Amino acid sequence: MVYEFYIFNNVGNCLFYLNLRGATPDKNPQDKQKLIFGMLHTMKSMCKKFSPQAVSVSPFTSYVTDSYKLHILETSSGLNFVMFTHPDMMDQTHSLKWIYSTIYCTFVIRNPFYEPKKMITSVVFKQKLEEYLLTLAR
Amino acid sequence: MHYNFFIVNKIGLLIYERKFPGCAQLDSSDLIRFGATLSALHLLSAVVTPSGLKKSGLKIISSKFFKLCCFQSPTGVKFCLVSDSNTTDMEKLCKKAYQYYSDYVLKNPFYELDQQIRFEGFDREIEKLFAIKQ
Repeated sequence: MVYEFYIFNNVGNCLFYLNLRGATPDKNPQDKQKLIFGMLHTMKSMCKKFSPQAVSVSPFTSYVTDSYKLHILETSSGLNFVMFTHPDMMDQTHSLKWIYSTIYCTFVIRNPFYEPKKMITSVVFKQKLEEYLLTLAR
Repeated sequence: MHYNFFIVNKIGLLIYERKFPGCAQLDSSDLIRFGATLSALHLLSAVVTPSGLKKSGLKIISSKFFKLCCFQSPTGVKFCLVSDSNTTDMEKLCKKAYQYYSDYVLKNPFYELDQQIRFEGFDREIEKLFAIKQ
Protein backbone atom coordinates (compact mmCIF):
# COMPACT_ATOMS: atom_id res chain seq x y z
CA MET A 1 0.00 0.00 0.00
CA VAL A 2 1.58 3.25 -1.12
CA TYR A 3 1.05 6.31 1.08
CA GLU A 4 2.94 9.15 -0.62
CA PHE A 5 5.13 9.75 -3.65
CA TYR A 6 7.70 12.52 -4.21
CA ILE A 7 10.12 13.47 -6.97
CA PHE A 8 13.09 15.68 -6.05
CA ASN A 9 15.83 16.98 -8.30
CA ASN A 10 19.50 17.05 -7.33
CA VAL A 11 19.29 20.58 -5.86
CA GLY A 12 16.44 19.74 -3.52
CA ASN A 13 13.42 21.20 -5.27
CA CYS A 14 10.33 19.06 -5.01
CA LEU A 15 9.12 18.54 -8.57
CA PHE A 16 6.12 16.40 -7.77
CA TYR A 17 4.04 15.29 -4.77
CA LEU A 18 1.20 12.77 -4.66
CA ASN A 19 -0.77 11.75 -1.57
CA LEU A 20 -2.67 8.47 -1.90
CA ARG A 21 -3.90 8.11 1.65
CA GLY A 22 -6.53 10.81 1.54
CA ALA A 23 -5.53 11.98 5.03
CA THR A 24 -5.79 15.65 5.95
CA PRO A 25 -3.03 17.54 4.07
CA ASP A 26 -0.30 19.36 6.03
CA LYS A 27 -0.60 23.09 6.54
CA ASN A 28 2.80 23.70 4.94
CA PRO A 29 3.91 20.88 2.62
CA GLN A 30 7.05 22.78 1.47
CA ASP A 31 8.58 22.56 4.95
CA LYS A 32 8.05 18.83 5.09
CA GLN A 33 9.49 18.42 1.58
CA LYS A 34 12.63 20.32 2.55
CA LEU A 35 12.99 18.15 5.67
CA ILE A 36 12.60 14.98 3.63
CA PHE A 37 15.21 16.08 1.11
CA GLY A 38 17.68 17.12 3.81
CA MET A 39 17.27 13.84 5.63
CA LEU A 40 17.70 11.82 2.44
CA HIS A 41 20.81 13.79 1.48
CA THR A 42 22.40 12.98 4.84
CA MET A 43 21.35 9.35 4.64
CA LYS A 44 22.80 8.98 1.15
CA SER A 45 26.18 10.45 2.11
CA MET A 46 26.32 8.26 5.21
CA CYS A 47 25.65 5.15 3.12
CA LYS A 48 28.31 6.22 0.64
CA LYS A 49 30.81 6.44 3.50
CA PHE A 50 30.04 2.90 4.63
CA SER A 51 30.25 1.20 1.24
CA PRO A 52 33.36 -0.89 0.59
CA GLN A 53 34.03 0.47 -2.89
CA ALA A 54 33.78 4.01 -4.30
CA VAL A 55 30.43 4.55 -6.01
CA SER A 56 29.10 7.46 -8.06
CA VAL A 57 25.43 7.06 -7.14
CA SER A 58 24.69 6.30 -3.48
CA PRO A 59 23.70 2.67 -2.85
CA PHE A 60 21.02 3.63 -0.28
CA THR A 61 17.71 1.98 -1.27
CA SER A 62 15.28 2.06 1.65
CA TYR A 63 14.66 2.35 5.38
CA VAL A 64 11.93 0.97 7.65
CA THR A 65 10.26 2.39 10.74
CA ASP A 66 7.35 1.02 12.77
CA SER A 67 4.74 2.93 10.78
CA TYR A 68 6.15 3.29 7.24
CA LYS A 69 8.84 2.26 4.77
CA LEU A 70 10.65 4.72 2.53
CA HIS A 71 11.98 3.56 -0.86
CA ILE A 72 14.25 5.72 -2.98
CA LEU A 73 15.75 5.52 -6.44
CA GLU A 74 18.47 8.00 -7.40
CA THR A 75 19.20 8.27 -11.11
CA SER A 76 22.59 9.29 -12.53
CA SER A 77 21.07 12.65 -13.49
CA GLY A 78 20.38 13.40 -9.82
CA LEU A 79 16.62 12.79 -9.83
CA ASN A 80 15.25 11.22 -6.67
CA PHE A 81 12.08 9.13 -6.75
CA VAL A 82 10.82 8.69 -3.18
CA MET A 83 7.95 6.46 -2.10
CA PHE A 84 6.39 6.12 1.39
CA THR A 85 4.66 2.76 1.81
CA HIS A 86 3.36 0.30 4.37
CA PRO A 87 6.27 -1.13 6.45
CA ASP A 88 5.79 -4.73 5.25
CA MET A 89 6.24 -3.90 1.59
CA MET A 90 9.08 -5.67 -0.24
CA ASP A 91 11.91 -3.91 -2.03
CA GLN A 92 10.41 -1.61 -4.66
CA THR A 93 13.51 -0.71 -6.69
CA HIS A 94 12.11 -2.47 -9.75
CA SER A 95 8.82 -0.55 -9.64
CA LEU A 96 10.63 2.76 -9.11
CA LYS A 97 12.79 1.93 -12.15
CA TRP A 98 9.64 1.19 -14.12
CA ILE A 99 8.09 4.49 -13.05
CA TYR A 100 11.24 6.34 -14.17
CA SER A 101 11.74 4.55 -17.48
CA THR A 102 8.13 4.27 -18.59
CA ILE A 103 5.80 6.73 -16.90
CA TYR A 104 8.22 9.61 -16.22
CA CYS A 105 10.08 9.41 -19.54
CA THR A 106 6.93 9.14 -21.60
CA PHE A 107 4.74 11.75 -19.92
CA VAL A 108 7.26 14.25 -18.59
CA ILE A 109 10.49 14.17 -20.60
CA ARG A 110 8.77 13.74 -23.96
CA ASN A 111 6.23 16.44 -23.16
CA PRO A 112 7.28 19.51 -25.19
CA PHE A 113 5.64 21.84 -22.68
CA TYR A 114 7.59 20.56 -19.71
CA GLU A 115 10.20 22.98 -18.36
CA PRO A 116 13.07 21.24 -16.59
CA LYS A 117 13.61 22.08 -12.91
CA LYS A 118 10.01 23.25 -12.60
CA MET A 119 7.10 21.45 -10.95
CA ILE A 120 5.46 18.71 -12.98
CA THR A 121 1.94 19.84 -13.82
CA SER A 122 0.95 17.21 -16.38
CA VAL A 123 -2.43 15.75 -15.49
CA VAL A 124 -1.83 12.60 -17.55
CA PHE A 125 1.39 11.87 -15.66
CA LYS A 126 -0.43 12.15 -12.34
CA GLN A 127 -3.22 9.90 -13.59
CA LYS A 128 -0.94 7.20 -14.96
CA LEU A 129 1.25 7.28 -11.85
CA GLU A 130 -1.76 7.01 -9.53
CA GLU A 131 -3.10 4.07 -11.56
CA TYR A 132 0.23 2.29 -11.34
CA LEU A 133 0.77 2.95 -7.63
CA LEU A 134 -2.70 1.62 -6.78
CA THR A 135 -1.76 -1.70 -8.38
CA LEU A 136 1.22 -2.10 -6.02
CA ALA A 137 -0.53 -4.16 -3.38
CA ARG A 138 2.57 -5.77 -1.87
CA MET B 1 28.57 -11.34 8.41
CA HIS B 2 28.74 -8.34 10.69
CA TYR B 3 30.79 -5.25 9.94
CA ASN B 4 30.38 -2.85 12.87
CA PHE B 5 28.56 -2.42 16.15
CA PHE B 6 27.95 0.98 17.78
CA ILE B 7 26.25 2.34 20.84
CA VAL B 8 25.11 5.97 20.68
CA ASN B 9 23.77 7.75 23.76
CA LYS B 10 20.68 9.91 23.80
CA ILE B 11 22.52 13.15 22.97
CA GLY B 12 24.27 11.67 19.93
CA LEU B 13 27.70 10.84 21.35
CA LEU B 14 29.28 7.55 20.35
CA ILE B 15 29.99 5.66 23.58
CA TYR B 16 31.04 2.28 22.20
CA GLU B 17 32.22 1.00 18.84
CA ARG B 18 33.39 -2.35 17.62
CA LYS B 19 34.86 -3.29 14.23
CA PHE B 20 34.66 -6.78 12.73
CA PRO B 21 36.78 -8.10 9.86
CA GLY B 22 35.63 -6.80 6.50
CA CYS B 23 34.30 -3.43 7.63
CA ALA B 24 34.83 -0.18 5.74
CA GLN B 25 37.79 1.99 6.78
CA LEU B 26 36.52 4.73 9.06
CA ASP B 27 38.70 7.04 11.14
CA SER B 28 37.76 8.38 14.57
CA SER B 29 36.29 11.67 13.31
CA ASP B 30 34.04 9.72 10.92
CA LEU B 31 32.79 7.64 13.81
CA ILE B 32 31.99 10.66 15.97
CA ARG B 33 30.13 12.18 13.04
CA PHE B 34 28.27 8.93 12.55
CA GLY B 35 26.90 8.99 16.09
CA ALA B 36 25.52 12.50 15.71
CA THR B 37 24.20 11.80 12.19
CA LEU B 38 22.36 8.68 13.25
CA SER B 39 20.62 10.46 16.14
CA ALA B 40 19.54 13.24 13.82
CA LEU B 41 18.28 10.80 11.19
CA HIS B 42 16.35 8.85 13.80
CA LEU B 43 14.57 12.04 14.90
CA LEU B 44 13.95 13.28 11.35
CA SER B 45 12.48 9.98 10.21
CA ALA B 46 9.90 10.35 12.99
CA VAL B 47 9.10 13.90 11.91
CA VAL B 48 8.52 13.10 8.21
CA THR B 49 6.03 10.30 8.93
CA PRO B 50 3.07 10.62 6.52
CA SER B 51 0.27 12.58 8.19
CA GLY B 52 -2.13 10.50 10.21
CA LEU B 53 0.35 7.75 11.11
CA LYS B 54 2.02 7.25 14.47
CA LYS B 55 5.44 8.94 14.53
CA SER B 56 8.27 6.43 14.88
CA GLY B 57 12.03 6.54 14.34
CA LEU B 58 13.90 4.42 11.84
CA LYS B 59 14.73 0.80 12.58
CA ILE B 60 16.55 -0.60 9.56
CA ILE B 61 18.43 1.16 6.74
CA SER B 62 18.97 -1.00 3.64
CA SER B 63 21.51 -0.37 0.93
CA LYS B 64 23.08 -2.47 -1.79
CA PHE B 65 26.16 -3.33 0.27
CA PHE B 66 24.98 -3.35 3.89
CA LYS B 67 22.06 -3.27 6.30
CA LEU B 68 22.06 -1.06 9.38
CA CYS B 69 19.74 -1.97 12.25
CA CYS B 70 19.13 0.66 14.91
CA PHE B 71 17.36 -0.37 18.11
CA GLN B 72 16.41 2.47 20.45
CA SER B 73 15.95 1.66 24.13
CA PRO B 74 13.20 3.48 26.10
CA THR B 75 15.91 5.77 27.57
CA GLY B 76 17.11 6.92 24.15
CA VAL B 77 20.30 4.85 23.87
CA LYS B 78 20.68 3.49 20.34
CA PHE B 79 22.27 0.13 19.56
CA CYS B 80 23.35 0.01 15.90
CA LEU B 81 24.54 -3.02 14.02
CA VAL B 82 25.96 -2.82 10.49
CA SER B 83 25.91 -6.16 8.62
CA ASP B 84 25.78 -7.41 5.07
CA SER B 85 22.48 -7.35 3.17
CA ASN B 86 21.45 -10.96 3.80
CA THR B 87 21.42 -10.80 7.59
CA THR B 88 18.04 -11.30 9.27
CA ASP B 89 17.02 -11.03 12.95
CA MET B 90 19.37 -8.10 13.54
CA GLU B 91 16.95 -6.57 16.01
CA LYS B 92 17.18 -9.65 18.24
CA LEU B 93 20.98 -9.27 18.37
CA CYS B 94 20.67 -5.58 19.23
CA LYS B 95 18.22 -6.42 22.02
CA LYS B 96 20.65 -9.00 23.40
CA ALA B 97 23.40 -6.36 23.31
CA TYR B 98 21.04 -4.05 25.25
CA GLN B 99 20.70 -6.79 27.86
CA TYR B 100 24.49 -7.08 28.17
CA TYR B 101 24.72 -3.28 28.36
CA SER B 102 22.39 -3.19 31.35
CA ASP B 103 24.22 -6.14 33.02
CA TYR B 104 27.89 -5.25 32.42
CA VAL B 105 27.80 -1.48 32.04
CA LEU B 106 24.92 0.03 33.97
CA LYS B 107 25.31 -2.26 36.97
CA ASN B 108 29.01 -1.46 37.16
CA PRO B 109 29.45 1.04 40.06
CA PHE B 110 32.41 2.72 38.34
CA TYR B 111 30.48 3.59 35.19
CA GLU B 112 29.40 7.22 34.73
CA LEU B 113 26.28 7.59 32.63
CA ASP B 114 26.75 8.78 29.01
CA GLN B 115 30.52 8.20 29.11
CA GLN B 116 32.68 5.95 26.94
CA ILE B 117 32.36 2.24 27.69
CA ARG B 118 35.69 0.57 28.44
CA PHE B 119 34.99 -2.69 30.25
CA GLU B 120 36.57 -6.05 29.49
CA GLY B 121 33.50 -7.99 30.57
CA PHE B 122 31.26 -6.12 28.15
CA ASP B 123 33.80 -6.43 25.30
CA ARG B 124 34.01 -10.18 25.91
CA GLU B 125 30.24 -10.66 25.82
CA ILE B 126 29.83 -8.55 22.67
CA GLU B 127 32.61 -10.51 20.95
CA LYS B 128 30.89 -13.77 21.89
CA LEU B 129 27.47 -12.52 20.78
CA PHE B 130 28.53 -11.44 17.30
CA ALA B 131 31.04 -14.23 16.69
CA ILE B 132 28.54 -17.04 17.30
CA LYS B 133 25.94 -15.63 14.94
CA GLN B 134 28.33 -15.22 11.98
